[in-house]
Amino acid sequence: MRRGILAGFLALFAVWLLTAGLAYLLKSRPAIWATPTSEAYDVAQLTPIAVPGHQQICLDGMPWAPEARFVQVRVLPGLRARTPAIGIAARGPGYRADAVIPGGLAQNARATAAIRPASKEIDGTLCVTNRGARPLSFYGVPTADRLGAPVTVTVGGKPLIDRQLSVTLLQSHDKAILGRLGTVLSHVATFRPVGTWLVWILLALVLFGAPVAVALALARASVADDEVAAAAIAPAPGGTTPPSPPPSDPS
Amino acid sequence: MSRLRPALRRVPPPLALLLGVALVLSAAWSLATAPLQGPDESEHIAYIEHLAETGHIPSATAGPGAYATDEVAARGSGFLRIYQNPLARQPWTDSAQSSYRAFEDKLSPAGRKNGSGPNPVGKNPPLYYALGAVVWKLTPGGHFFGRLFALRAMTGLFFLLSVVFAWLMAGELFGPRMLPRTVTTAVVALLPMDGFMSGIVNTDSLLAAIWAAFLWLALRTVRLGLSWQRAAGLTGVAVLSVLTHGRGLAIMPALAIALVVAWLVGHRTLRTTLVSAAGSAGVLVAGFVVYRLATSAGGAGGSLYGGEVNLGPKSTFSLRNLITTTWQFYFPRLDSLQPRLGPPIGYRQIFVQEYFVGIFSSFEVYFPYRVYDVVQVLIVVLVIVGYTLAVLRARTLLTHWAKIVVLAASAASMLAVLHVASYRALVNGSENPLIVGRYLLPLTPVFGAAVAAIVAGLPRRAGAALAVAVCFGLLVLSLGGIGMSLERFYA
Repeated sequence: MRRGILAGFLALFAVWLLTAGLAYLLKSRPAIWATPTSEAYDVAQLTPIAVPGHQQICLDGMPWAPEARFVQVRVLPGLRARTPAIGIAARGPGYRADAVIPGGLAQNARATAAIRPASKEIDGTLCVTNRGARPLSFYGVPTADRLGAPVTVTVGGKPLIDRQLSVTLLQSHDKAILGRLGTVLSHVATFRPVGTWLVWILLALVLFGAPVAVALALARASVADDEVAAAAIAPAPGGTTPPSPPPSDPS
Repeated sequence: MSRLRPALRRVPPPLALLLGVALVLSAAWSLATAPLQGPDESEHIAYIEHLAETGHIPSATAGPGAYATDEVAARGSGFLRIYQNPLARQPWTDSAQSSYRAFEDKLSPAGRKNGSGPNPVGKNPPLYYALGAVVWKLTPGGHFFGRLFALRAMTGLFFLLSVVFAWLMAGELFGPRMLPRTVTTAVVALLPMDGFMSGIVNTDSLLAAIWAAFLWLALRTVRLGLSWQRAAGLTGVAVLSVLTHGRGLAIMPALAIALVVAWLVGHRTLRTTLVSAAGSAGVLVAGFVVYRLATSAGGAGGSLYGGEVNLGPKSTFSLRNLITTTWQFYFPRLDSLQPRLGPPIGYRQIFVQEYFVGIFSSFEVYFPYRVYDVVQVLIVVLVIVGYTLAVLRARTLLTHWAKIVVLAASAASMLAVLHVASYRALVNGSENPLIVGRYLLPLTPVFGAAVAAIVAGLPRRAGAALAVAVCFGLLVLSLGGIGMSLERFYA
């Protein structure tokens, strides 16, 4: 029974790890470097920002870094309309990167531009230019809401007080978590008094130590029950059934 | 040290292994959930900080602000924006950390004392927060995020206590049978919601540990009989429950029933009965004095507790309406009943989704719906198997009536308080039904014992297979929840 429990539990776990677990770790998804401003998850908090034709919207507080390789905003050209080309300009002390997102994106699409990353972490600005003649709206959130970030926003050079552009900086479009596990775990260690190495150890304990410990606990318990059952039915040396053991304090 | 080693050697291996698993899972949940992202975690921390820095309980209704300046700054540095927003990530750049640290270094002592309220959890009694205040003061460095980390670790310790008490409780139920005892404990150690809550700052984990201790002591008292020491001990644990949270008041009917059952089983003399009653009453009085001292010293003015003790205007409270609303929580509406008050939630949402399987962070991290569907079906199958076994072994069960009554009364008492508090909120116009899955944490040992009883009632191989299946399922759900939380906050 002991071996059956151990083998059964660990086999089940291995199958799960190699199917569902691995599929989860290998699934490609956008690798986010930072969300310097928020994107509304609840549509009620979505606050569009219209940028006139040939004008730009700019905001500061952008954490440019070697990992910030893509800039992503979301567009609202209108239900049946398409976006014009969108210009992206990233700036910071000693850092300058420009890109263009081709036109043709539909309502609610994510507009993503690859940029030359900064060589080190710096605080900078981002300007997004509507290169079309008609106004183009972007996803934004209210500044006064809890989604608001401490950034300064301008549209066409004029301050925009009540709303801010939603910006996501990506490390990669499409990358599996397994391929950047080190980065993810280093993020876990930030704002905490632990090193990334400790997070790695914990991950190993969770994935490999915990299942073995649970399987062992069940197996040891089963062995103990088997021993009690065997003792209860084993004939005593004198040939008679042994008396029941006195009730013990189960505590 | 010389005494500690033999004591540690006496820890049964299954318990030691499950404690190790619980420790690892709790630490993993603590790291996988970004700071300040647990349900009401910011408010719990604000309470602790205010109590630690000023010696006062924050007001639930008045004051300039719920959070002290260091917590306001922490929330403002990106942790408020990511709250309940899976599209946002916490800041993890070096500059974000160093700028917060620089701000904190310049913060005056007054900046840690100004979170006097209104803080919605200010109505909670102070036990958890008082323990948290000690940890707050003792944390080396005195930095906000370091203290938050230490507070989460403290909550993890309460989780480990829950596991130990669940083991002891199961010993009272199953005697020397180790597999059901291990299964009971494993359910507590592996249930994803238990682990998740142990990794954030909240009162529920302490309440769960206290209830586990209560269940153990209640069953022990029933087995060994009433004495003044046991009655006083059991009542003392009940007082701790009341001093932890308003929902802890649900322990009082359970205490009364446990004492009566212990008295009925023990056939004690009048003198023993009176002495036991005196022991219990003495602890109750002492607990009340502690409560009064705590609230008057804390400045709460006796305004602790909320919907658990205040039923609101009598004109709106209707027993019939409470029963029909509660009926529709569990069963389909009968034609003769009025529609249920409030949002369309029931046992599926609260028991299955938010408790047995789990919804994490602040309700934005959850499994695909098919996972909840599968677990719901498996629970129904387990209930049917359990019912069948209960019918087949009714005579054996009847010999254990006292233990069953104690466990059932504890569960019923908690569920009754939850439903009454929920009904009270709804009938007084709130859209929030004030009932969520984590409120069921004190009952995890009871559910664990129910599963273990099925394991014990089945033929050996089938019982072992069920034990493996349940533990495997719970472990996989826990790992899934941790993985989803890591992705949500850090990927």
